[in-house]
Amino acid sequence: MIRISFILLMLLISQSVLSQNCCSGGVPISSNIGVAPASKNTWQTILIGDVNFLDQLLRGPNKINNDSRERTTASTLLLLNYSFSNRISADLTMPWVSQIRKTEGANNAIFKENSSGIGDISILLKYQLTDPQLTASSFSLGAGIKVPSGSTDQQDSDGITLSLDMQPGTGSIDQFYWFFYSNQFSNKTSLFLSALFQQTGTFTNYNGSQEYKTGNSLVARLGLNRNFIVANYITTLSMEFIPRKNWADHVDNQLIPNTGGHWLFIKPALTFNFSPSVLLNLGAELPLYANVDGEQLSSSKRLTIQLIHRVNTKSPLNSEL
Amino acid sequence: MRFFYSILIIGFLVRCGGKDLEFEDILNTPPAPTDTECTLTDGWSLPPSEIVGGGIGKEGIPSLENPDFLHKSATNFLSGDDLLIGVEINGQVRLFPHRIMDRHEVANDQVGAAKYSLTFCPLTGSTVAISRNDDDSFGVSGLLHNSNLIYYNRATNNFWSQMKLSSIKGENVCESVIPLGTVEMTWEGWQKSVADFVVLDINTGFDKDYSDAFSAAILEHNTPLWPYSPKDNRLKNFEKVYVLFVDGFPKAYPLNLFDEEIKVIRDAILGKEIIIISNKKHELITAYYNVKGLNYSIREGAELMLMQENNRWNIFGSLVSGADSNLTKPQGYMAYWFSAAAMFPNIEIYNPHDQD
Repeated sequence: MIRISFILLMLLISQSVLSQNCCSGGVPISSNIGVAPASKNTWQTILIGDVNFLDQLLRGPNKINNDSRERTTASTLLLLNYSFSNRISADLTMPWVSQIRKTEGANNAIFKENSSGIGDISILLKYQLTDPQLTASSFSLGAGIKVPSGSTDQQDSDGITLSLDMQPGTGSIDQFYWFFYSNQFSNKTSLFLSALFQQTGTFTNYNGSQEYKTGNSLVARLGLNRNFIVANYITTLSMEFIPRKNWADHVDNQLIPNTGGHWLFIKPALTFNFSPSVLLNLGAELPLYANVDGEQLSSSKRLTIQLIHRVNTKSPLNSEL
Repeated sequence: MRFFYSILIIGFLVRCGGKDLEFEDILNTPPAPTDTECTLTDGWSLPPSEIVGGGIGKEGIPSLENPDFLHKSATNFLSGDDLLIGVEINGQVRLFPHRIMDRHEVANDQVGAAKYSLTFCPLTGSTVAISRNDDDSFGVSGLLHNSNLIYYNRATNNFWSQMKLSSIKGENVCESVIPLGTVEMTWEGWQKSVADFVVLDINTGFDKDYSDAFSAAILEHNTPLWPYSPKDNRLKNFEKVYVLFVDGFPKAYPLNLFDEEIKVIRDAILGKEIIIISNKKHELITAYYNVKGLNYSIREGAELMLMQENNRWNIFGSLVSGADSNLTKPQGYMAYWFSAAAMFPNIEIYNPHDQD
């Protein structure tokens, strides 16, 4: 039970919710890819709710005294993972993105723009180098792509195409490179480290005639988990440190001011193991440090809720774990 | 029409307040370069596909509302090559530094009862000042056309193309704006050209970076970051030109063609005589109608004066001494070449050899 819980917990904590900043509006473009390995023939279905509040205007590392701009990105993601063998598995992530941008003008007038739609779908193939049956450590590598399935031509109420950061899609094909390491020290304590590098492609139809390249990004996650028994359920408290670097965006090969930067987030999370196959994870990602290029809206908090269900289709009883 | 009436009202007020901005001057100013055929698509007089969001939303760039000004003797945050935009209202010269306007783009100001708004687009380097009535104030729409600012009237939600000098959506769509005359030059140039003026206070109440970092970043590029069309390679994209309109006909005067020193020349557009005052060192080009076809000279000293016999005019064309009247400024503004060429395809470029 404990071991199963540990594995399932890894499914949750290894997910890389990419907390975007200014110019991608916090859309979890490649979110939640990187589910930890599971045993052969296991289907995992993860439903994720993710709300990112970008309401801190920063100049470099400093917070600007200005509350007139904010944006909220709410995403619902369906992640399907299948393990073809004990070593090879794949993730398919399908997001639905809803964004609201709010500005406050003179005389406290509030202006809102919003958009919603299917975001960019991503696929990640993974290979586990270690055998989880033999060792308490796990090490996996992965690579994948994000395809431009999300729309990039949504319009505002005046019939003007919304800026790219407000679109559900990015218009580019991106590549992902991922690794994941975990070590279970005991039935109660485990450590994990993961990293995801996103090599972004180019949106070649930006504003109808331009090429837009969102900056590459690198996100690492270092976390510690501790299990407790609460009301007969295994409950896990985890704490992650998430350093992140975004490179600047470019249009027609020219750097766009006020894009790029680096951040350090902390993410406390609580996981409830309702059964061996059903888990609920609640997390809050908070910035510890940020240093943006120029002036950018940056995330003040990100809340996630994840519900995971896991079933082995080829087990003798074809049952849930 | 509401906007037009506001101009009449303000013009009247200004006339009563002094001789510097005459009611007749505004009325006698030829119409703005509005397209002769104004067709609408979804309410827009421009193709909506040519209008793009700048990425920060409506009012995402905060305008300045009734900002404070410092007397020139108390202004200590500028360096000699900083650019400032000047307007003369009721005889008072007010200067707006680029590096402050970079972060606000619109300032709603008033001098006495005369209300006006100054708009500045850092992406195209262009400035337009307009009169407004009591109910009107303008803000940044967050939209761009050919990289150029689209501002809007908060009272009417009417959208205006800054460089086209016309309304592009709303109840005033297709109407022209008649801008107030503005003059742009360096801080050093202003100090040598105008005896007394006030400068927009850098303490605006906003927590903004008022270094020239944004403009510098824009000018580092070879091509603009936002789309524009058509492209015209007769000049470099970010070469500065003075775009002058006579009877709606635009003509570009490249700053690089002018001398480092102050100079006054004559030119003609559509048969109408123009006086051009230029100083490349101070990045100055401004123009007046030369209705009488006379020769003018320049006197430098405590204040730059345009002279013709016993008459003296200041840099805004206001008669300072003599029996003549104010000089009328044709509509015009400084802008980067790419935007002038995109807004006014095949725009004529001034050729000094044509004057030989």
